[in-house]
Amino acid sequence: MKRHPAKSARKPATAQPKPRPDALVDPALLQDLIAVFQNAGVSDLEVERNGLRIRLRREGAAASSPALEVSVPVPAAGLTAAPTDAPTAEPSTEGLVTVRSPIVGTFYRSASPYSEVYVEEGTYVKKGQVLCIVEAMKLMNEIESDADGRVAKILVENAKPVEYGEPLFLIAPGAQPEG
Amino acid sequence: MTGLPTPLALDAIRPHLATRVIGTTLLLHDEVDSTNRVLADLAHQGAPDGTVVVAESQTAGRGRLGRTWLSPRGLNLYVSILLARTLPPETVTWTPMLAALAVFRAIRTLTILDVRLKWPNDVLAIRGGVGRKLAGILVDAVGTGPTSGRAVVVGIGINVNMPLDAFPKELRATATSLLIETGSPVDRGRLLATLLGELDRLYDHAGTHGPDDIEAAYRVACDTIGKPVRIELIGSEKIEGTAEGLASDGALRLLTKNGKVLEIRAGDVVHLR
Repeated sequence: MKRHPAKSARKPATAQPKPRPDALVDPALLQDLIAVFQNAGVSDLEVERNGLRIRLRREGAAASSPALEVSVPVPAAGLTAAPTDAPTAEPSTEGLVTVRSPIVGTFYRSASPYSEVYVEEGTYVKKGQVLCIVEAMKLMNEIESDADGRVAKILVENAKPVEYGEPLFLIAPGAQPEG
Repeated sequence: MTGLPTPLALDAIRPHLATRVIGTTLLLHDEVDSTNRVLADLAHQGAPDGTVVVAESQTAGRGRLGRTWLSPRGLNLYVSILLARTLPPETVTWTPMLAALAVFRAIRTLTILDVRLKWPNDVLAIRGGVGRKLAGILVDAVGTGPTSGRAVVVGIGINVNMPLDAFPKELRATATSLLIETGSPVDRGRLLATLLGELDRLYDHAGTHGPDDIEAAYRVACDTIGKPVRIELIGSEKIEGTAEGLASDGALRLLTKNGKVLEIRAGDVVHLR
């Protein structure tokens, strides 16, 4: 395993909290994620499941193995941020879940030009709910939300091309307020 | 009196099915809204790889961008196939072309028609130098989470025994059926079994060897490459150029008049000349 120097330099800032016994990382899941990550050629992958957030990030284009961060947010602290200390050109995603395009294609906010958009900014969505379609070669990819929460930002205009791994939506995790 | 068309029957299809995966679970409905919609629901409930949904008619057969697919009862083939094995990202975008190739091969097995493909996945019958649409394919990728991958629902509509007067007037110049082209009815059960067999082989091959061989076979069957074309994008934007080749994910490389090369991943292709 090659280690990127920048990674160890900021190790203290990302000290891993002790996993809670009820939220232990399943090694098989981790293996799967790493495999997906390495095959997909993306630079950043974040998965949240049952309060456990796993983030894989490639440091620099030359890195051959993913850097791995595992954090277990305290339940009820809805806006616990994943450790992000690298400055980025993307909008502030502190505490937000980024939904990315799994393929290169064309972004559509509705199923057809004549139907209503799937979501607007401010819409509350459930994990697994369809947010948009990305089309490539008549393969219509329904892109689903990775989290329960509010659509904080739609990052792409309708019918525009999107790149592999391009951020499409920011979701602010949390349940819809009552009433 | 030629009698009523023979209804599809599982007992008549199964003996002809020589497949490993596709059609192991085969569901036949009299009427559904859309076979893709029904199968996507089944995929979310964990339907096995290769599950097939066939219907005698569709009340809301779909094409690209919410267009409708004409689906009268008993005449044609409306079938959706679930490909749940996780294909690598560079292979999954080839799925629509892989399906088109399966349709191409199935029709060539059962008829002597001059069949060609139009990028990405329209199946055309060529008569008098003119291509008319025989079949359409619409593929929906439904997310089942980053760890379990994405399932792909391949929807295929083939105009089989539909007579010319069953097409709306505005489609008669551009659409056709096997009956119109060959002059005699085609057994839909046999066509389905042949189609699923071809798809089974291609799916198996793509899963183990990646898209390279699919691409080579597709290039041979596809009429678009090398042709002057017009691409009609969403809205009213149009681009003209020469279809130069394919990118690694199957996108069409278009050489425009001012010498730029664009990669097209969505749009309607019109063959010029």
